[in-house]
Amino acid sequence: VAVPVRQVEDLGEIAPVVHAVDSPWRRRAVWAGVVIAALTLGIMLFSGGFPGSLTVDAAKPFNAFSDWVITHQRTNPLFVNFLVPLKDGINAALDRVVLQLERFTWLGVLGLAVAIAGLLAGWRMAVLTAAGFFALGLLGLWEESLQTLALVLLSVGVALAIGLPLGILAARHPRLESVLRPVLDAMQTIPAFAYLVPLVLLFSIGTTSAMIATVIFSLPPAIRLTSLGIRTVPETSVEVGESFGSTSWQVLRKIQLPLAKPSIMLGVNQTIMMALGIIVIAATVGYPGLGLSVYQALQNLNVGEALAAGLGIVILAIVLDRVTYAWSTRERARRGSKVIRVFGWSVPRRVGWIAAVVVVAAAIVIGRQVLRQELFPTGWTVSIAEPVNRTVDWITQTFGGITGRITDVVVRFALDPLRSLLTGLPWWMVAGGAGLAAWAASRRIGLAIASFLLITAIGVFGMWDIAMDTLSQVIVGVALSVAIAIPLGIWSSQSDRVQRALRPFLDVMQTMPQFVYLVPVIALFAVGRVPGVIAALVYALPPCIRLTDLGIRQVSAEAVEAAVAFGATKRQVLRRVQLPLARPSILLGVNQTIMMVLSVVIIAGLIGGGGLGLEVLRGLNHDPGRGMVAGICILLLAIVIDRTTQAMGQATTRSATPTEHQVGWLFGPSWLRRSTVQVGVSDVSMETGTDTGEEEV
Amino acid sequence: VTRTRTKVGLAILASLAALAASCSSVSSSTPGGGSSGAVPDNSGTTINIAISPWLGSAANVAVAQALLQDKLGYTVKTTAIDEYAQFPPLANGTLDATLEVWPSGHGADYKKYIAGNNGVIDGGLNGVPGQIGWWIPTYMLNDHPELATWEGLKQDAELFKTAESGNAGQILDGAPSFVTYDQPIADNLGLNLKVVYGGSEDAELAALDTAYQKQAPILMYFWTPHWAQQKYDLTQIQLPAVSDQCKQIAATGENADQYNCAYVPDPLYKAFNDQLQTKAPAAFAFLKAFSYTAADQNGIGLDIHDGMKPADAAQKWIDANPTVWQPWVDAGLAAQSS
Repeated sequence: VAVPVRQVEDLGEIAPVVHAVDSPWRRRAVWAGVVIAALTLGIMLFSGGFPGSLTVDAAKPFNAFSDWVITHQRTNPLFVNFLVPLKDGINAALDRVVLQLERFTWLGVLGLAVAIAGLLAGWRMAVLTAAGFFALGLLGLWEESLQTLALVLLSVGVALAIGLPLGILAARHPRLESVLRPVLDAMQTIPAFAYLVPLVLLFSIGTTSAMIATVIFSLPPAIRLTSLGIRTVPETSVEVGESFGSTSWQVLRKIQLPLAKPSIMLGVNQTIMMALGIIVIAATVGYPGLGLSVYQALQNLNVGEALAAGLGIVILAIVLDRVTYAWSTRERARRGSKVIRVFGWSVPRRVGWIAAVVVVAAAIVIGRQVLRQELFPTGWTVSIAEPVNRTVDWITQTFGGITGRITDVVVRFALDPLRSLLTGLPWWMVAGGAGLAAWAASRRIGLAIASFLLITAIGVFGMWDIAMDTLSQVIVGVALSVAIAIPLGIWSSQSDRVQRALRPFLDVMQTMPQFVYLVPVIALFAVGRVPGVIAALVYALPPCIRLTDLGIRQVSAEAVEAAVAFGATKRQVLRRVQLPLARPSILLGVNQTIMMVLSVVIIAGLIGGGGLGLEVLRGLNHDPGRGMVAGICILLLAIVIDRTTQAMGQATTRSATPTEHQVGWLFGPSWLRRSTVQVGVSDVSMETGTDTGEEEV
Repeated sequence: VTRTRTKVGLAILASLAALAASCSSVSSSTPGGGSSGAVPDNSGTTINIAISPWLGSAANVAVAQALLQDKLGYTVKTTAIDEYAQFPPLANGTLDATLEVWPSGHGADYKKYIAGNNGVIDGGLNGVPGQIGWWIPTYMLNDHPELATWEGLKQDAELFKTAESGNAGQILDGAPSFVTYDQPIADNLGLNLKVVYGGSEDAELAALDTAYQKQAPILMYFWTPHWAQQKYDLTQIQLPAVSDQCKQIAATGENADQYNCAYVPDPLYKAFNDQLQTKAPAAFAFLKAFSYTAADQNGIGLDIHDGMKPADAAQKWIDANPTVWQPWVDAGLAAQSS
């Protein structure tokens, strides 16, 4: 095959890479030697940990606040005239919605859901919705699903009412954007457990607290993607509007919002997914539903029940996700059209409406007068809990010995030595290491200093040893997760078959709430740090697999062809061309993995994981102030790790802005796009969009 | 045009909804009417009771719920809620009552909410004496009779070593929310033990079951009353007698790291919202009188554990023990008529 001359130029792209791989071994060895020597000296010459004399009691103000609330909540006008009526109003409203839905009877609700899905998103979606709701009934989760659905819709409504305007404002005022960004990070990083105590104090238990917790967690994507959408509207479009004398309000309404719509709709969709992901937390403040089923099953160690309820959440997620997605794409296509298409036939819109109303009316009447069943008939339900539990029992008995040995190995050779190292080093060495790593990754002195100070603050708050325990678990979890995810991602990038086979697993894995992962691992690995680490590493696999795959597949065909033309084998192409060029994407995947491992390691406090997560949980009961402080320390740790690893990905290429196509692929083509928006991709695009946000941490 | 039509369609949907709403409820759960005398109609009043995440609590609430509905005619709502989150809603009336508070875990809450007159009142004891302690399976005493007291534990701590506890012996605790002084006790008594959290009561029980089958060593934070005390033969390790200092720590929750003796006995008590008596005098009098024995509670708990629904297990106990609950109902009826 003749090689076109043009490709010779492309060697410029490969040459430095090939060069870089070949030479630096000696330099790396020297660096490793320096680090080992420094660590050894640090442990030998200085006392480890953080000196008690430098700590402050940060819990005090929180506890003082809680005491104030307890003594004043029945007399203070803020409570009597505002918070209490607000809470009662929200609680009563949502109760009424659920009660009303139950009065429609199960058939009526089914009909209503189908009609709404059909009108908004087409008849295919109506069929999907019917199947999904019917499956929820069959699983015996009908009432729980209605309760969860009501809470999710309410929370999403509130989140959008706050998020869309804020997103628009943020797009227009970079200053606001740079203030919002750390706040949004905090909202998604501080484990919900940490703010449950103040929520319960202010709003008591029940719907209102559950809703606020859900809103806090699900708001960020609404803001981020609205802002991103508006900022990426081509400047020329805006200029055209302005040259015709449009006011800025008109530009916003007629040009920016319509053009930003795909991104905004992705934000809406993400908000729904996040809300469903956090629904288990709502159970801990006394809101019933699917979340409570998962939570109770977790406490009873009932894997089958937890899986069934988790499946219920996945089904709801799929239905909501596909319907909102289809709605957003259809809206564009059918503008002005008077017909809708049903399985290929064109039907006038009016007929569609009448049909929908008839279906709902008929369903309600049949449900009430003929079937007379408010809830899904219990005789039809199928229990998947039993067979699942039997399988798990069998697995536990068969592999119990092996898992025990795995636990031993991970604890003795990874977790314990690492924790001893981190707590044995003097604090300034650990914080300094964090600063150095940040500098090496970003070459920004500001980020380095900030990293040093934030890590030091953990010690000042009196959480040093506990945070080091958490950090050791995160490091081990990330190392294992990446060791599995990158080879899988590479394999997937080399074969479409593998990619297709992996996709459904990855999609479902990304929709399961974190809590569901904890259940099977306790059955297999008993309690302690290891089951938490294992749940975390499994939970964190999908984004890293996907981003590795994506990165490799995006390496330009010319670069690969050029290497092949020079006689490189497939292996060499992979090692010397594809992997180095895919590095930014893979590092973004690693960044995602770290944040996800951290989030699970925290909730693993529930199953004996110790560390900061346990501190937050204990705080709920015994010392709310300390729980809050532990939550803040988690945030500090997360910010440092996140910024450093993100900088690593960006330092190599500054043009990491993902295209719409990429974003779509990452989150799955049309459904189940979660978690990547959480920290990674949206941040990257925001950074490249406006450089103003970069100076602060 | 399209938009108008959309609005019309929505209006039709809305009116349909209103129509369906105006119909009466299909199946309202009617109270199952007891044989003894007339049941007063209190169905307009809803009593909201907390269920803590353990079976004893579920047993209490199931019994109270059945009797409040069937004999006193109230509507009863239950809320499954962690211990930590019970006092704030009790104080503002979101919850009306909780039927089992372990005093050792809520010294600070008692001080703030009950003694401080902040919306919660002490509802009296529920009759069940609680005791937290350190327990081992009795079979361990065959080879290690010295384990009956904490001094013996000093030399035997290594028996309980696990990967998770490293060089120290492991003492297995339950949920992080349970009150525990285990680490201070171990440290202050010079025992080489390390607390590992199982995460929940059931995680502890799973570990106990595994150990029991293999007759393996296990040392755990546990308590009585508990149905498992009937299923497994457990021995409580004798810790130093409760000192005044320990009592002080248990009562206030302060200086927990100086705790160095056995857990103080826990007479379990009930707590109510302070408006309950005004809102529902009969329910208040009933709940105030509610009191039974550890055997009663364990029996119901074991039935629930073995797969019975809480309501059925409670009904079985109610049918068998009218002499125990009749006085509670009578107290309620007396308050109703006065």
